[in-house]
Amino acid sequence: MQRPKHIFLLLLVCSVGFLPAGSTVEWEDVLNVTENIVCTCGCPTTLVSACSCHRAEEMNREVEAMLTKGSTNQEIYDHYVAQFGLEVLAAPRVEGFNIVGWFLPFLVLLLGGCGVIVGYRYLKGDDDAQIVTPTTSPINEKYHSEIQREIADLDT
Amino acid sequence: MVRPKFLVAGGFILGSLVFLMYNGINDSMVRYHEVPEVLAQPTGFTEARIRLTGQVKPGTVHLYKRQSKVDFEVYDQASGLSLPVTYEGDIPDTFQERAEVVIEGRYHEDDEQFRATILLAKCPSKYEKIDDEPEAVIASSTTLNE
Amino acid sequence: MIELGRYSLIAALFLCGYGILAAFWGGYRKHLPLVRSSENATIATLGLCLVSSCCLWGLIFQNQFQVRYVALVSSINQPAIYKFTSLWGSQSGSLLFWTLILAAFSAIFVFQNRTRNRALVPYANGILLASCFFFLLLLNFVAPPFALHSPVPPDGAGLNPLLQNPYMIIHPPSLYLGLICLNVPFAIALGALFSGDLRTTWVTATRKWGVVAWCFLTFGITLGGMWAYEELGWGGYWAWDPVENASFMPWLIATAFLHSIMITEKKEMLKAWNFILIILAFELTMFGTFLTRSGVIESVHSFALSNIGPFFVGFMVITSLMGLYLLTYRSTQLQRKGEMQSFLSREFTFLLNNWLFVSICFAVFWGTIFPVLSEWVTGEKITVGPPFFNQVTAPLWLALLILTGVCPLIAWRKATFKNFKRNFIFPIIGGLGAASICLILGVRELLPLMLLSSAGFVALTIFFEFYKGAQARQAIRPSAFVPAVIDLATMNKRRYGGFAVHVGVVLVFVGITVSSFFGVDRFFTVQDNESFSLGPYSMVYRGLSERRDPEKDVVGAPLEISRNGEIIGTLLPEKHVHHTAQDQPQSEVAIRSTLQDDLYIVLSTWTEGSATFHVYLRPLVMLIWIGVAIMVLGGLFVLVPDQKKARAPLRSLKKEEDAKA
Repeated sequence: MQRPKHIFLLLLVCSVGFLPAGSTVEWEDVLNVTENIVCTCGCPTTLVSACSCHRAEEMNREVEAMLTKGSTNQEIYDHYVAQFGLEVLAAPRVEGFNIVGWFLPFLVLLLGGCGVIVGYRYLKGDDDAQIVTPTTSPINEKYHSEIQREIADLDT
Repeated sequence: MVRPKFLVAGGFILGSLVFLMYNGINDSMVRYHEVPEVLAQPTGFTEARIRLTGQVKPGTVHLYKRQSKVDFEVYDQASGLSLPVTYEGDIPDTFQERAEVVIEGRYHEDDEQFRATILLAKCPSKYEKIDDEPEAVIASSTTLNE
Repeated sequence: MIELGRYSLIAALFLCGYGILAAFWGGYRKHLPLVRSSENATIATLGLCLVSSCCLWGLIFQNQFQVRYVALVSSINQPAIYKFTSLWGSQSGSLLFWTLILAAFSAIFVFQNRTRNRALVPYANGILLASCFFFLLLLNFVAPPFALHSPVPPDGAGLNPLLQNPYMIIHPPSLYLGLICLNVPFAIALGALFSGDLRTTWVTATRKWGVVAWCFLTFGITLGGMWAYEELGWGGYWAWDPVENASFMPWLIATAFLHSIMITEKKEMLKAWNFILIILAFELTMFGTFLTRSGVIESVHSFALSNIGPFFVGFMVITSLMGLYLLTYRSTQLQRKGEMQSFLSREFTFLLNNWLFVSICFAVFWGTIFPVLSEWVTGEKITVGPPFFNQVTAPLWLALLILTGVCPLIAWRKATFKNFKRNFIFPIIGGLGAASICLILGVRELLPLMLLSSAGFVALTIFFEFYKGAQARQAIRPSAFVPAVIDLATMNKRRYGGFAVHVGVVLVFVGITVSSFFGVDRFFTVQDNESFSLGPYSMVYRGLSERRDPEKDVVGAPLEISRNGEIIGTLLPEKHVHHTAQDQPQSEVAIRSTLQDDLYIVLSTWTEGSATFHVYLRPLVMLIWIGVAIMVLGGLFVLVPDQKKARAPLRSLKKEEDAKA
């Protein structure tokens, strides 16, 4: 009576091997990858997520397959870079000269900010007695709007 | 009345304008020609190197990847004429059927071909995008000689 | 006709040359007859360009294929409307078209200013003529539209069938109108610098032209986005393509300029900065057209694909140097008269506005040229695509949106913190309310949350501006609310037109945020009569339908669409294979647009008995187009002139002033 039980247990253990590996892959996960690689079908740079050509369909399936097997996003990117070169990435990696590419806009933003502060200091005068403040009380509102309109009329 | 600063600046501006125009004209006018011109009088283009622009004619591409060589016909849209071209060298990724190319080289009388030493290719504009992959497109019309 | 066209261009070139000399010398020596002569030269140039353009149109319609350009862009069976648009179908024709519009704007400028701004008009006219001269140089020597070729082909190549759609009719012209229009405020600014007349007259003149340019540009750029959305079949409307960026950069600077010019008008500050902005806007226009025409971005080396490149570079260098030189020459006269009181002032928010717009412009510029730069430095080809542009500019857009709401709440000069707080209460509540709604609806990502809350905040600030103003109006002259609003807006078109533009901006932000973050798409491969669904929509595939047009083969895949169970109609995505372009199948996207969402279907591939579709569901896309329409209408509203009656006393004063100048 022991033998059939053992065989049954063995079969049970073996059947585990037929279960799908890894968890189910959501479309969002595929999209996360395909939004960052460029379709190799045509010239004009199109993201794989945006391309409707035959090749993009294939690449979508490839990415889905790789994710199901458990590859990380980075591994998938590396896979395509090895095949097609760095061009296939939709945005450059942050390394080497590309660091300049990514950070220069922020540098310019900061410099611009300094420029604004410097410019403001340069343009700032002494405190004036005239302070025009908007109010919310109805009567003042009415006259305020009237005055604003007349000023605007003179200005335009 | 006219300040010297003005004169210097004006002279510099005019000078650069003349220089750039001369350079630009020199580079382009003398050397750019059209496919019909070459076909009409091929012997006139065997000496100096010239530049031609046109499209890669579909169905005429023979790609020899290992030898970095490609034979094709460059097609002039306006006249409908095409000229056989052979090119040895780096083949740009953007090279595909219907791509706009610039080739520089000389016409060879012996094999009646334009031998190009420079090949530049430009993508078709976004609005003229080719829907299917270029490899399939070229594969359908090439003999891959490995 | 060929000779007429060609000689008109030669004559125009000489006339322009003469006009430049007459304008500058006449302006310098204050010699009125010479100045008038130069103005006539401008109008005559327009006439000659018109003649030349009509000749080219005539040749196209008469199928004169001995003209190389005609053979390139047209064919015998091309529909008439596309024969008309083929004038701007390729390089030389589009240059002629550009020159025509430029000459037209120049003539309008000259005509509009025949009795005013007399100090700067000669120089401004000279600059415009110089611009025309540059393009006429190209038309005569580098890209002649009337060049002949032989042998004469029996039929022309024709406009690429993929380009034969209604967008080809309106997108390039409207974009050109916007870009070329920027020439005029540039010319006016330089004219003011040349003449030394730096009172605020030049400011008003540039502002009006700037608004016109901005309206055309906004419209043109958006049409490009709509074209991409409807025709290219990738479910999006903006790809951060170099060609798209080329027209976007001038728009960014033009917007910054329109804001900062208001400070100069009201407070006489930042004059030099305004000059820099308008010069930058103009140079970016030239840079944009250079980018598009020379193909320099696709590859470092494709610069050589067109012989036109070096000329544009030269022109940009010369005009920038000239502008900067004039600026330094007149720097002493550009000293500020007004002063900034406090950072809690509207002036300061405008400074911040400029800072953000210029930073975004730089980021776009940098991202566009970086692939070329990188290839030159490292030898490796890289791609700088949407992820870069979206990530780098997103925080800047958010800041700009918030600023849009903050600005009207702060007074000119100096606002007290107390009143600042009081004005902010309701809008902040509005923003928080929007945030709560988003959270309730399931929004969890930070960026869309912040964008949508800010949109709510801004919407409420604008609403309150209209509300308070209308209330004050009603207190003076009792009326219903809506007439009060109309009255209010008509009394101060610039202020309320501006607010209307901001309303449009808010809608665009909301539309873009929601359609980008909450859109979904999937590939579906289905058998005949199989159904599939995305979101509330289900589609049933009923098999292929094929037909053969005279010019193309059409494969269609009709789909029965239901929404939430109810059948609402059929969509027919197709693939067109034009006989003349057999290897270029064109996707005809099927879109069902409602205010709520767009169902967007592309037929990808098909075999016997099955087909693959790429289906997109994008909510609130319509809001973007509506928002842009409001932006443009708001801009146009700003331009409406005021009632003549009320302006009479002021105008006679102005006339006196101008006559003295």
